[in-house]
Parts: sequence; C-alpha cells; structure tokens
Amino acid sequence: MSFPALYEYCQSLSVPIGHKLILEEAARLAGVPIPKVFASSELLPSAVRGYFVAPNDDSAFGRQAHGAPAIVFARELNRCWRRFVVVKEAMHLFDEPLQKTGTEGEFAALLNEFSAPSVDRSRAMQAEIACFWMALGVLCPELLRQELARDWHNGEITEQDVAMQLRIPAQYVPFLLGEPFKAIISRML
Amino acid sequence: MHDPGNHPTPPHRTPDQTKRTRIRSIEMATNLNKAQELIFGKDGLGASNFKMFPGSDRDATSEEISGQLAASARALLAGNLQEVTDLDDC
Repeated sequence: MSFPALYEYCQSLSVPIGHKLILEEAARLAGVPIPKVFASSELLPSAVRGYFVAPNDDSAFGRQAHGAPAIVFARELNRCWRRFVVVKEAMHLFDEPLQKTGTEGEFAALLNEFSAPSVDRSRAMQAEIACFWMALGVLCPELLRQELARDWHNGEITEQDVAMQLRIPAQYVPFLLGEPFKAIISRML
Repeated sequence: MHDPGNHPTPPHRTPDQTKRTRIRSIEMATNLNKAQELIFGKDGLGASNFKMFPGSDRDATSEEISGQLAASARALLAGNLQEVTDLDDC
C-alpha cells in the first residue's frame, strides 16, 4: 500500500494543499494514470456528492480515457467540498483488491450498506471510511494539525477558521482536530 | 371466502393515481439496473472499481442514488461532462 508514502509527501507541503499535487503523487505511487476530474450537474449533493471509477482497459470508457480513472463531483458543491470529495475519491487509487467494488452485485451491496449500515462492514465499505480519514490526513500536515488542534481546543480559533485555512468542509474539522484522529491515521501508516 | 376482486379502490386514490404510482415504481425499480449496466458493462464505464461519496440526506434511497449515478455515468460516457483542471476555476 502506497498511502504512507503519499502521507509523508504531504507533510512538507504548504496549505491549502493543491488537489493536483495529491492526485499526481497518488497516481505515481499507485502506478496508474492521473485521474481525470469532472463536474456533473446530474448529481445532487443531497444524494451523491461524487464518485470514483477505475475502468477496465477493454471497456468503451477505458479505451476512451486511455485507462485513466475518473473522479466526478456534483457541480453544486462549493470549493471546499469539491476539493475534499476529489481527494477522498483519489484515495481509492490505493484500494486493495478485496476492497474494490468491481461487480454489479458488489455495487448493489455497497448502495444498501450506505442506506442501512451493517454491523459487519464489507471490505468495500471499510475502504470508503478509510479513504475519508486518509483524505483528512493528506490535506493537513501533522505538525500544523497539532498546532490547530491546540488553538481550537483553547478556543483561539473556530472550525470555520480552520476550514478556510485548509479549504476543507467545516463540518469535518472536529474529526481532523479531535482526539481519535492520530490513532486512526496511524493505523493506515 | 376471501375475494381479492371485491376490494374497492381506496377512496383517497383514483384508479388513475394508482396507475401512475405503479408506473413510477416500475421506472424507479430500473434505476439500479441502469446504473449497474452503465457502470460495469463493457459498453459502459467498465468499472474494475467504483466508489462514491454519499450526499447529505441520509434518507436518500438506493434508487434515487442509482438514478443520479446512471444519468451522470451516461453523460461521462458520452463526453458531456466538463473536465476540470483547476477546482478554483469551475
């Protein structure tokens, strides 16, 4: 798994970290073409904020895209959400074979799991959750995260301040700066 | 003896409304199949891995989600989606 290398790469970058840098390095580490990013007005953020698709080479889209994965986000999303959705979806470049959703049945099962979360999460759903934390991890270098967490806990800065600095959705700031983050991201390194 | 034919149409719903509801549910029921075909079919996106970022409404149904994914996948395949190179510019 190449995520630890990507995480390390992002530690020296200044914020807000450009999504292009993350996509290019993630693709290099995963050994795949750089994903192409698209905006879709067919997606409504209330139902679907975005998706990731890695095509088989012999499919119509695989030939059309020369094998490059696609990341699609809902056009209505604001800049912070777009960045986060694109980076979270890019983390699926690191999905292990058993975590991939590669059949119609696995797709239906994943949709059901989003609607009615299972007690025993599938490997595909575990990847969805892992990628959320991985995205937070690469969008904020750890030293800065510790500083922000201290200031946030002391009431010196707000979630909105952090969101503006990192250009991430404000509602995810508590996840990034909360106590469990370090332990969760460490399990992926 | 129970005769299902004797059940009248509920007073709050006309036969036309019942028919429209039935047609709508048939259309809805096909969204998942359409999305599966477009995402995994060889003439579609031919996905070896597909993942998604769910929306803010936790009550969105699989059929609603499938409908949007199918429409978006169709647009992607047709080359009708705008490619974005700078997220600040779109």
